[in-house]
Formats: sequence, C-alpha cells, structure tokens
Amino acid sequence: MELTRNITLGVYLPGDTTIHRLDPRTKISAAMVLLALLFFIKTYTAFVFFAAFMAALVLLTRIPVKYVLSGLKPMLPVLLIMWLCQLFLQKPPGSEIIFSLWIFKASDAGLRLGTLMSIRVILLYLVVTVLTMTTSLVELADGAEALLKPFRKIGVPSQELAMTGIIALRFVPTLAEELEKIVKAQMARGVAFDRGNFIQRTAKIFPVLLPLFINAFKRGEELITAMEARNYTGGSGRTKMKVLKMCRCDAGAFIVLFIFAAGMVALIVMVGPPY
Amino acid sequence: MSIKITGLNHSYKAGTPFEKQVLFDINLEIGQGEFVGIIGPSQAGKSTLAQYFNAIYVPVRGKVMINGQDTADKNTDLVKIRHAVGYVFQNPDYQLFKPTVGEDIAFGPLNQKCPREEVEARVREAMETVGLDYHTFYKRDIFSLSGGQKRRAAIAGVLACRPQILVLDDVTAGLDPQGREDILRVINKLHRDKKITIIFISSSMDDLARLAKRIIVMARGRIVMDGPAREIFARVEQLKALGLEPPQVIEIMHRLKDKGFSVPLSILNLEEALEAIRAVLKKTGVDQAWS
Repeated sequence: MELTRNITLGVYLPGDTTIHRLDPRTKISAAMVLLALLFFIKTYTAFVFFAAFMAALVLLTRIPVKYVLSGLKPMLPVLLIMWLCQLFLQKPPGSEIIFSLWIFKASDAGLRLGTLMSIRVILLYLVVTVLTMTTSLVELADGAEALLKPFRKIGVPSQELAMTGIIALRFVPTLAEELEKIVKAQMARGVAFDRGNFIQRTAKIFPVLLPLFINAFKRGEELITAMEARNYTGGSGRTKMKVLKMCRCDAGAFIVLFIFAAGMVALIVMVGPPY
Repeated sequence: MSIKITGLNHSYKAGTPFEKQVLFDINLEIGQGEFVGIIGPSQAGKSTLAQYFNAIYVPVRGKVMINGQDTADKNTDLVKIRHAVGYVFQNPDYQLFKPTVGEDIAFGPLNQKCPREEVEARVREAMETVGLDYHTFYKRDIFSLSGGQKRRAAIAGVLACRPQILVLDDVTAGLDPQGREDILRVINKLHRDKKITIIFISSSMDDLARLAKRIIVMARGRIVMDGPAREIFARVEQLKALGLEPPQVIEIMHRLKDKGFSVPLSILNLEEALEAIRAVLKKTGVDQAWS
C-alpha cells in the first residue's frame, strides 16, 4: 500500500562517502554537465561508457543499488509505451522494416532510437538521484544559490529561485505521504482503485487529487506566513551560517569530470550513427 | 461481525534502507457490539493495527479474519469489508472533497451502488446522527465548515455506508471541549442505539474513561494490556511508566487517598467520583454543606 516506498526523488540518505563530502556546487555543476552530455550522445558505445561511469558513482555512494533502482519502478510503464511508440512509428529515410505486428511495422531505426531513448531516461534518473541522495536540501539550496549568484547582477533572483526549487523537492516525500493518507481515507469509503476500466480508474483520481491540491495550497500559505514571521524578505543581504568551501576532493572530482566529458565529446564527434 | 487477529507483524518500507517493524506478534479478538478503546503513546502502532480492521492493510505475516473471512485470501471482497467496517480518520481534510456537504456524505453510499432514494435517506440519517441539521448543511460548501463541523461531516460520510463496525482514529484530537462533547455524545449514541461495534483510538484517557468498556494499551508495536476499562485504569503506575496520563478522575482519587481519605481507586467517571467523595464526606460528617 505504501506509496512512498518508491519515491526516491528528494530523499536524502546521509553518509560519509567521497561523493557525500563533495561541495554541492561541484555536484550540481557535475550533474548539469552530465545531463547536457546525455542529450548529445547517440551511440550504444557512448551509452555503455556513460552507464559504467554512473555505475561507478552509484557504488561510490554506498547506497544499496536495489534502493536506487527501485525509484525507476513507477516510470517503467511510461518508458515501455515510449519505446513501443519509437519502435513502430519512427521511419526515417534509409531505415528497414525488421518485423511487423498486425498493422504495425517496426523499423530498425525505431528499435535503435527507442532503446537509446529509454537508456537515456534511465541514466537521467540516475544522475538526478545520485545528486539528491548524497546532498541534503540545505546543501542543494546553498549550492544552487552560489552558482546562480553571478546572475543576480542581471536581475535573476538567485536566492529566491534556489529556495523555491528546494522547497518543491523537500515536499515531494511529504506530499507522497499525504497522498497515501488520502487514498486510505477514500479506500475506507469504498473507492476501489484497483478495479474498473481505464476511464473509470482515471475518474477515481478526483477524490484523491482534490484534497491533495487543497492541502498543498494550505500548506504553502502556512509556510509563507512562517517564513515571513521569521523575517524572510528575499535573498538580498541574507548571510549564511555555514559557508561553502571547496577542498581537494572537489579538485579531483572536477578533473575526473573533465576527463570523462572530454572522452564523451570525442566519442560524439568521431563516431556518428547513420541516422 | 467480529475481528480476529493472530500473529500479526508489520514492517514499513520492507526491503529498503528505511525498513522499520511497527507491529510485533499481535493477537486480538473483538466481538460484535463491543466498545473497545485503543490507547498508547504516539508511534505505538495503533493506527497501523487499526488499518488491518478494514483491510487497508492485508497481512504479510500473520492472519486477519474479519467476519470469518481471511483478508489475505484473494477471493475475499475487500471493498465489501470496507463498507462493513467504517474507518474515520483524524483529519477530515483528507476525506472531504465534494463541493457540498450533502454530496460528500453521499459519496460512500453511491460507491455501494445504492439507488437514489436510499442514498438520500442515508445522507439524511447520517447528518441527523452527527448533529448537522439537514436543511442548514446539506448544500453548504465544505470550505465554510468549522473544524468540528468538518469532523462531523467526515463521520457522517462514513456512517452513510451503514457499517457494522466503526473505527475512530483519534477523532477528538484538537477539538475544543464543546466539540469534543458533541463527538463523544454521537459515538455513545451510535453504540447504544444502533448497536455498532466501536473501536476508539485515542491518546486521551479521559475520553476513553467515559465510554470504553474494554481497553487495549499498546506500546512500541505490542499489546501490553487488554482488559475491562476499570481494571486497566487502576494500573496507574504501569500507565505512567508507559508515558500515559491516567484519567483525571483517577488522578484525583489517588491524590485524595494519598492525603488520607479512604476513597476507592477504581473509578471510571465523574459521577462515580462524586458518589465516592460524598460517601467519604458523609462519614466524616461534613455532609450538610456539600450535598
């Protein structure tokens, strides 16, 4: 029954590994670089190297692999649908039909693009999860704020943006818990969420979505009042209790990142697929 | 309509780094027409246990039989069980969602596929039972209700399903004394007049002292006491050790005893306490001024 079981997004697991000890600015920039790379790599070879790199990172965090992968479970149906769409609908010039099912014809390009896309999504999830599992919310907020600070000069509200993002992440597990309570309350009145055809089941989302949204708005209002009561007036002039400091392991991390990124870029540029 | 639980264990997030066992070897039987209070310090596992009563949780280790049916059996219709065992949660905001009170109360019976006229009749009956006047509240916006009114609306919503067993999970928490009185009166009426089995989870000993005939005390996932109310409340030292405050009347009786008055300690409510104090005062001759 527990819906919060597979919510791994936003869940922080404290630890004392190398990755945990890195400055959040390092981790956030690394995550951005990795995410950017992910969108440009197009070959199985490149993905294999990327996956190996991610596997090494996950192992370094010493978080149980089973737990890290469990967060993928909710995504699997969507991934499958996307894969099937690519398989049967992609027909770029030069591709060949490899098999057909009823009126659907699968192309080899579709198979390749679909599989690569699915792998890309999984790796994306891993990058974000490694970041959130090894970096506490306060660290993430500080890191994001520090990275955005130069943009304040052109009017970007760096601190406020970082705060908003972190609050959103912080509430994902809370909202999931609340969702579970609401589901239980409606189950208790006879709503069978596991029965009915697709349309009926979709309609059953209302007794759950409405209380969830209403409570989320109420919570938001309370939070604003609480923050204002403690004198929060935005980011300008705000000081910090703990100031971020980079150390030697960060330099090391940047070097590793640079080598990896260079390798990936080389792969992208040199080995391109026919389509 | 009875509940029988044997060897029940429950863990949250089993198989993850956050795994936590919250119920340890629970054995318990609740029969038709009983009024059982479940009490314990917070995180004792009361709500978790109660959610086995209406098959929100289905046992992985242990057995739960409701009305003779095994909830873990794939052939058991769990939705039917949830209609027969009503569960009112503490926070009505997790349950109320329809625009008006009437529509929300009707939600339960409509899920039970009741015909229109019967739905109307049940809504009316439920509103009357909880003390929400039909004409005033039927078309009211749920956002315009006070905390106590929302709670009553939530209870009405569950009552409209005509359950034979009613689980009330900490429904008096956070209510002002009047609100509390109103709810307790409703619950008493349900038990007395409609003969519904009541399972009342609370952290307030005073509420339980008033109504419950049998008390189950839980602590750290286990049942530590299970017996008639009078007997359980008398075990003041044990209750205090668990972090539970005994009912105020009992506390007063104990203090009077400590000061040398020979008052009985197995008191359940205010009336009995008054009787006992009067008896003692009569004996010492201070009767006239206080009668």
